Amino acid sequence: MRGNILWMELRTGWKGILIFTFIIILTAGGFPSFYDMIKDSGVEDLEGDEYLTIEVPEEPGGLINLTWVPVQGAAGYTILEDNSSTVQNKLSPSLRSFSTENTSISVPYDYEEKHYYSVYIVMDNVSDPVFLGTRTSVVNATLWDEFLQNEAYQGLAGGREISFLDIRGYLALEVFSWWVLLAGIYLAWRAVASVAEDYKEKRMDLIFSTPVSRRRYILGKFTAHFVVTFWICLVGAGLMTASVDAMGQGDSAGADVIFSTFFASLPMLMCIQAFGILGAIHFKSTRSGIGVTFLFIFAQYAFNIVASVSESLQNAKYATIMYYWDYTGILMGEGVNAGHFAVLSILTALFVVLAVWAFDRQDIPA
Amino acid sequence: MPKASAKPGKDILVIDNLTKYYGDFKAVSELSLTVREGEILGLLGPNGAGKTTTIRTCLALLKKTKGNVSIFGMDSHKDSERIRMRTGYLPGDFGLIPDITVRAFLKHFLALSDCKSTEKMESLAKRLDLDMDKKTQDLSKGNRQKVGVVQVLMADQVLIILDEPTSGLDPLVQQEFYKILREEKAAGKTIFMSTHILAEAELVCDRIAIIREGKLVLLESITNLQDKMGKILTVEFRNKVDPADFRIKGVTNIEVEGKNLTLTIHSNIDEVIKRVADHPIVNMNLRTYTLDEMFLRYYSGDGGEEE
Repeated sequence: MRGNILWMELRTGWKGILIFTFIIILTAGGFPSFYDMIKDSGVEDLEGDEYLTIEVPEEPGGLINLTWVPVQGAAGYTILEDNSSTVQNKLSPSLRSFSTENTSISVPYDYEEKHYYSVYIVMDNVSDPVFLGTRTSVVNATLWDEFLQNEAYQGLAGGREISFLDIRGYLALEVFSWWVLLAGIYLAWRAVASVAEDYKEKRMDLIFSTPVSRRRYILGKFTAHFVVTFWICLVGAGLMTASVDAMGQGDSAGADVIFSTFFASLPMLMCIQAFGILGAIHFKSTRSGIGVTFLFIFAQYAFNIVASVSESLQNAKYATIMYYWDYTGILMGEGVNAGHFAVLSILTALFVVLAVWAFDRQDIPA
Repeated sequence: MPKASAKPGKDILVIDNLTKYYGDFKAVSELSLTVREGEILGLLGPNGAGKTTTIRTCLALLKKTKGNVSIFGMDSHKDSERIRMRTGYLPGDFGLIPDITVRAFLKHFLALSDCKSTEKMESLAKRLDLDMDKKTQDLSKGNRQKVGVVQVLMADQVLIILDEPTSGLDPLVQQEFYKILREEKAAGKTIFMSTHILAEAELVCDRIAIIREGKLVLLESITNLQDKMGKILTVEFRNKVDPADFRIKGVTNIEVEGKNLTLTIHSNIDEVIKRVADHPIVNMNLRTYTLDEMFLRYYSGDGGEEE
């Protein structure tokens, strides 16, 4: 008799599980394969940068030394400084310009943002200066760096500054930052519908004409959702590991790190589903149950991002379930936090107990 | 109001002073009745009388507001799972699990009831001409009802509770279903069923309980009830008759319309026949009340006792 509710749940839900597995294959297996392309597209392509060398002090306040290769026939050089890379295409600078007959120059490092320096060759018999090359004040800079300085992105990484050049940073931002939405929403919908549809389709009377207790019904559904979630994490971790390995990045993000990151999300996803079951029991309606559960997910997600970057709301992040799945930390080698795992497990158990309690006390509508 | 007669060891289901409110609406009011071992008790009443609420409260699908229900001597709510191990229930309105065959659906419910044998399931399906290989979502209403009928009987439970069991079944299948019910009764099963089809109750029930606005208005065996209600005599005379000629002890409901006389005889039939014979007769008929007529009398507030 045991396991029948679980089995029927899997048997009747296999189509949805299959479709979602396909989405996981595309996501977990596909996204890492874009890593090289996205990384390359983020590397700033500055024309003639190979002719220039730049030395930038660690902190503003000193001098930046810019040197370049000597050009035969050059009467002098004009150096344009701007905060935009378009400086390589124009002759009038937005900020400062310098002139020298040498092949090096020292300019004051009196700013914090990124600056660009373009060197132009002044020749006696040529009316317009000739462009030599451009360098920036930020060494190893990528286009993504500016993009990722957005606080929202830092919020997605638990307040950390991470780089797209690192496969782990890439995985954190491109896959795991929205894994909770992708998997969470599907699993929440499944959890709510599995119970609410039994009300709507009037199956409750038949189910409870058999010696199934309400507690067993809830636990049967929950166990089925656990199996599906475990499967999704397994497929996701396995495919991502294979994909990362195929990209030659296996040393940076090994199977242990990827599997840990995926499976650390399991209690959070179960927590969402337990909340969904509770919502379905309370509202007895798929639409209301899903509405409330989605609101729960999105509100928690947004609040977690805001709380991760806001000093005044810093302590509020502890109230969001997403905080307790620190995928960036795990990817960066900090390991799975057992305390976080325990908090989510306890919260999940609490939602399940509440669902059983509420179900036990309610009339089943005819 | 009829009281539940408790007979230890014989009463399978005892409803004692059951009251159920939905918010401010009183759906069942201080209802008491007993279902005895081996009998078929019919719960009668029109839509909204409280039949389904009574049944669903007995099965702990609804919480009771007041009163007690015991089944097999156990509390219907506290021992609900243990009771359901020996009870089959066919809801009045139910849905099936989609995307599986009828056989898979029924096997699932057999497994939930911890019953290993599929023999009875297959045999019932055959008798009801139910296609077991069809997908549940492809079934007509009548075939869905057949699935429900097989489901309630296949695990060979001791107590069978049916809520409007023949709804949607065609007349031939209905007859087969009545036959099956009689066989179940003969095998010692106890059956508690609700219906608003009086002919059905008359055909299969040993006793009937009539409820009105959630209250029990009658609990009686069909034969006793018919005796209690008396017999209806209709006579067509050659000439007009005076109703006063038939006002004798044990006779009620005397109606004369032209040359036709209708009256109810509770006793003194010999004297009635003699009075009738005093007049030239064209035609005459003596019959018992049908359940329909009894039901209407109870529902119109005319209890049916001798005046």
